[in-house]
Amino acid sequence: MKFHYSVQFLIILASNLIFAQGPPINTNTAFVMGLEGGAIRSYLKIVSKSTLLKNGNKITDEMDRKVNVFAFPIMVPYEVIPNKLVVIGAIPYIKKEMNLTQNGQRIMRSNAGLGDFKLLAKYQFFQRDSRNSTLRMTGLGGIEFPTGKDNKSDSIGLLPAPLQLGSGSIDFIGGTIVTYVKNRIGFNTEVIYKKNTKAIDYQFGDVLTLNIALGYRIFPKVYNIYPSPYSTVYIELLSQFSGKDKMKNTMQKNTGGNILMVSPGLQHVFSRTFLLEASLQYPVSQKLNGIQLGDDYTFNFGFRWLIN
Amino acid sequence: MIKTLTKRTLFFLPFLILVNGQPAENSWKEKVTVRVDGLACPFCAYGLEKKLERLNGVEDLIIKINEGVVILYSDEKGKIDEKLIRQKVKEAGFTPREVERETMELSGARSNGDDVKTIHLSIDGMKCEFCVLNIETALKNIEGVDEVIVNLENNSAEVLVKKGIVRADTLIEVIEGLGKFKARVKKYKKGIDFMKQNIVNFFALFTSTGILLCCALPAAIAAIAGGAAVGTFLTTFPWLIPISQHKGWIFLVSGILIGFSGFLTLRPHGKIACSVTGGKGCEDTGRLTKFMFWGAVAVYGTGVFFSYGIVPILRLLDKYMFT
Repeated sequence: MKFHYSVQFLIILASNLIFAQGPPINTNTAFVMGLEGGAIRSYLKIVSKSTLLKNGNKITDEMDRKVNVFAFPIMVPYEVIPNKLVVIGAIPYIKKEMNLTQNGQRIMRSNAGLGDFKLLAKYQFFQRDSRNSTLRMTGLGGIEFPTGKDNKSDSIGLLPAPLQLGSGSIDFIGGTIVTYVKNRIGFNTEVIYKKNTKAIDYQFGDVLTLNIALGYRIFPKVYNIYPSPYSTVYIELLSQFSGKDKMKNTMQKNTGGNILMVSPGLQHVFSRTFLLEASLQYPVSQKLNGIQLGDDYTFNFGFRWLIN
Repeated sequence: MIKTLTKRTLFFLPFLILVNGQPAENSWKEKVTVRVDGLACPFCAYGLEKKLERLNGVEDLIIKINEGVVILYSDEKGKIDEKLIRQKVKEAGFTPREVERETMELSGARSNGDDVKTIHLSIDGMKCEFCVLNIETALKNIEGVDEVIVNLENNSAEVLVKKGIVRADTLIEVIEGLGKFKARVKKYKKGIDFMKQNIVNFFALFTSTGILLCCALPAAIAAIAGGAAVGTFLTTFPWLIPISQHKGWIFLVSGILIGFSGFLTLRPHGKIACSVTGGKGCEDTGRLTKFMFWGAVAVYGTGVFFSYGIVPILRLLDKYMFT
């Protein structure tokens, strides 16, 4: 169970990256307006993991393990109550590959298909506006349904839980998001807790996510007439605190831990309804329990499109 | 059905081109300026624009993010209800403040709808906000030009001018005189776009229906304990088996197709072109296009539910309710 972070990471990111109301890229925004109905958000996410860590320190991996995860989620938010309540449905297409050397032979185990379906809701409970600035607070809640397969096997046997497409359990998500924007600068922060429940015999540990994002519009200096194209750069600090997984009620020592990542990103709004964005997440600190594969990087490239 | 849809599109096509051949001209009488607080996220202003442009009496509008104001233009004095403006601004997620009304005064003539008109221009060569500013400044310096809205996104400009004093040729001459731009009076060719939209929508509908047949229907029948019925179904249509083996990819491709057709169908330009130029043919084809798109979405949604949703739901029900 050394690769569970790829899955947990995706689950958390998918819940974070679901909203279409503009910035930032990896952290949620408290905005629940601007949709005028629905929106679509999708992106390609590439997660690479090949650094073996023991209690957070790099060690030599005799099996030379490498994990690559490619995710392509589709997310559809819908404004239920204007400027108050937005519900979001999301389902990812995921491809996972694990390469390792066993008995002198290089083998690959892989899995691909649709993952777990998430249903989330955002409710804005605080709003204070002044000229060219706004402060908003929003609550977030949701359920993740086990729609992804969690019992796939290959020629070697049953794939380990982290290589499965779904968690096999119903999981619950809750948290708060705060956004402050003034002229060219935007500040977003969020606290999200994910309660994972037990599948047949495996339970992922709970995850607490704390993210902070700072955005700065680099072009144009003065935004005059809407709509005009504009570009924003972001720097985000993404942290996760994960509990240990359980297998048949036994705590797994090589699971759980804390990760801190820094993520620079760029977002360009082309028109009133369409934007492209990209970010690169790089681990600053990985304090993982026991022996686990650490993250090398995560690359994210996607679009958001408002429809009505 | 497909044949009927294509026939309907072809029937409307010449009519669409005819009704879309003329640029629209509006006459404004009142300008309503609304100060809006919280206008800090331009990408969020989409809902504000859509809500306000649908208000009764609003002929045109402009959102000035930096100044935090929205200006609404009406062809009749007092036609735009202030209460409604405030309500729509709030619904769009912003805070409405002062609302100022101003009658469009024209020198040397009574202010009525026949005195002013809007000239719609297409401008090539605009690359940034500086180009916008450059063109706006140049046009505003022309005697008889009352208001200029240059849109970088659409490569277009709307110029409110006094009739009989300023001609479109003059505006084009001034814009091209700046040296970097090519301008012409705007034409609409949305009939062709609708044709393209319908082709994409047709493919989206086709692939969605394929999903429903190959993957969702057998899953649904199996879920309600109709294994024998699934067997008969697959014996009759054996080509569904290889398709269902790659259902993940088929869902992905269909999703992309639906996304693309949604982009063509629901993007604001299509709607604006139709409302500006009017015409029943345009509206009917628009409705047909939307019908096909939402039909594809409904079929796709049904497919997703039966292929990926129903089994876990039944499993859950089994786990929590029947044990």
